[in-house]
Amino acid sequence: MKCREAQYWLYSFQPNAAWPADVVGHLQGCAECQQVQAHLRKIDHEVNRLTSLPHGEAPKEQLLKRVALTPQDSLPKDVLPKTPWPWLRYGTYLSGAAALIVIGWLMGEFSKRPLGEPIEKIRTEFVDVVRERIITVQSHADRSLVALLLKRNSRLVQTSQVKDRVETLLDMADDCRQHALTLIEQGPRDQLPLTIDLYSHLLRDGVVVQLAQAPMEQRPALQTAVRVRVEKMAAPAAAGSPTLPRVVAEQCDALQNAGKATLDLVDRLENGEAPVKPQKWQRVENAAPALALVQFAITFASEGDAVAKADACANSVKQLMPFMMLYLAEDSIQERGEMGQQFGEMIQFGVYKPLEVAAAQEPAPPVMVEAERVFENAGKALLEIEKNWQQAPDAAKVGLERALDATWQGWQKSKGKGPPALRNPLVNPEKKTPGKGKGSKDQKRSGLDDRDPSERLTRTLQDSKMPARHGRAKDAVTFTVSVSNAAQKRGQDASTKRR
Amino acid sequence: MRDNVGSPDELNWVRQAAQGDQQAFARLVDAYWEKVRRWLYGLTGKQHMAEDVAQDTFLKAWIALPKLREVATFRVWLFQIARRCWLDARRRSGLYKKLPLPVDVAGNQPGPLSNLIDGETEEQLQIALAQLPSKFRAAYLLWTQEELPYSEIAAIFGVSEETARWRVCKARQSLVQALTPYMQYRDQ
Repeated sequence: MKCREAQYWLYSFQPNAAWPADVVGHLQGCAECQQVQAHLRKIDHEVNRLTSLPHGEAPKEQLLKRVALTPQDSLPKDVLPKTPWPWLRYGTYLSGAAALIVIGWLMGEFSKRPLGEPIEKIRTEFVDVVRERIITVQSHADRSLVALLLKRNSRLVQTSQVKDRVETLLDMADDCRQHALTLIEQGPRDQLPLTIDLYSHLLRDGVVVQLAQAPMEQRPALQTAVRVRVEKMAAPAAAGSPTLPRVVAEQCDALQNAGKATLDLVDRLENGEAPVKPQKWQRVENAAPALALVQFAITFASEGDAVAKADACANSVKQLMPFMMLYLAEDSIQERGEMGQQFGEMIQFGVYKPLEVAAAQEPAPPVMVEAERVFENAGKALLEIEKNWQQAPDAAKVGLERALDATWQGWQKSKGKGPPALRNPLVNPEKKTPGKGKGSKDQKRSGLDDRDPSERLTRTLQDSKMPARHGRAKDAVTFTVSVSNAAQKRGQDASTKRR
Repeated sequence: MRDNVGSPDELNWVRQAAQGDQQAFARLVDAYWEKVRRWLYGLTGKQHMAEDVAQDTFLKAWIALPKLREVATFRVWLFQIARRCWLDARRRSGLYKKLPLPVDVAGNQPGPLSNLIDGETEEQLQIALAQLPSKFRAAYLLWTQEELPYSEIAAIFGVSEETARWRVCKARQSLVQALTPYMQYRDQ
């Protein structure tokens, strides 16, 4: 049982109520829930104490005197529900119901689907909606941090010098620090520990590891630059800040200590002590977007093996995908075009580029098999963007289009040099769907009618023997085929009508 | 948790009071005065206002008692009247702003826990309680002071049981959220 389930009982029911055995068992073993229970008990007790006054008898006696003078037979109007004009209320209800019926009918008329629309598409759309709802809701502040980290990542993947990489990682750390300070000052503070953790990782596993990996001749200048910036970040907060609750004050200390620990590591590096090893990230399902972006940055900067780098970056992209799809489809995000571009660049340079490098080195067969697997996974990411792009309303397509275009460039470059098993079906012209025509208007807009990645990837995925765990990709394939069929059918219907 | 139906004595008092027996009604006042007043005090934050509204409540209950069909539902019915009187009083006085409870309240049963919570925590609790939406506060106070079951709280507010449970749950969550830093500090 999870804490959340146990706390449902804690918050909603009296302690002496008959709680299920698994809740009781959880409470016995969970210190956090025990603490919540203790706090609730104290609060309830204190509320009861505050509202229990020593009361005099005078008001009661006064009441009884008034009772003695008041007959029971007449009932004041305000005790009973006030219904001066019952017909008016019923009339209002009826008008409201009629208005709802009319609105429902109008909505039905305007949203009628064209005849022949495959039921498959409706089902897939529904599946998408349900899947997207499981994404953690992010606050506005969290979204700002994600937007910043995304921007930094797109810059990081295009850097070639260690100095630039270190600068970008320091920028990312500073973004996290600023975000943490904002959370401390304004709240909500539930993401504060994670943000401080990210800040700490960026400094230790990002910046210090880069210093350790830098060529010896560049190190002194880099160390000086890093020291100057980290000293600024590790400086104590300005005086005059309000007194904080203890837990928050502890988080402030943790934030400051992360900077000091980094300075210590830089000192040790200068003294020639053992270099810092980058941390191996444990893969988690449903990682927070900010965490996925930091993992991407650190792995991209520090991982030397091209296939391992592509694999880890593809995993981060997979974690980010639901959030990005939702984010890019929102009407209120002004800069979604740029963000789509940045996300596409992360895939292009973080996944496809290392694969291209690995393939060019003509690695051993086991490495090639691993590269094929990564290539296939990255293809699914591309397919997912494509699928969401097809479903998105026109206004929301710009970000997805730019993500597709940027990703496409990486895919295009790596396909000729990529693993042979995937290369052949993609470049073979005979594999093109016969009778496809010129493509739909939307396809023309993104320039996908003549290159059509989804179709090629569809064939790739169909041709390769996919294990059962790739069911989601199979759904995507079914969806893409059904959309193509529907588009063809709509084209035929339109030409028949014209005649 | 209290029983849903009153004691046999209480049912008899309700029946007798409904027939005009003032002694029986006085016993009902004895039994329920403190509960109603305490709840109203938690809602209004003013002792005099709570007593005035409590008087109004019992007077209206006395007048309307002959029309009460189910004597077993007296408690719910009484709190329904109290709620309506509180809403009327609030409307009349324009007392929409949320007042915290006064600090210098003497507790009836000072226990060891109350000694643990210092003045700052108490002040924060009062502020947090006053800042709760009135619907949440009203449901929570009935739940914690009177230990009413959700079915009765739901009947008093004319909502579903699930809504009543949700209001209590949200109220407690808000209080814990607001007070956890101070509680943790006290725990040390």
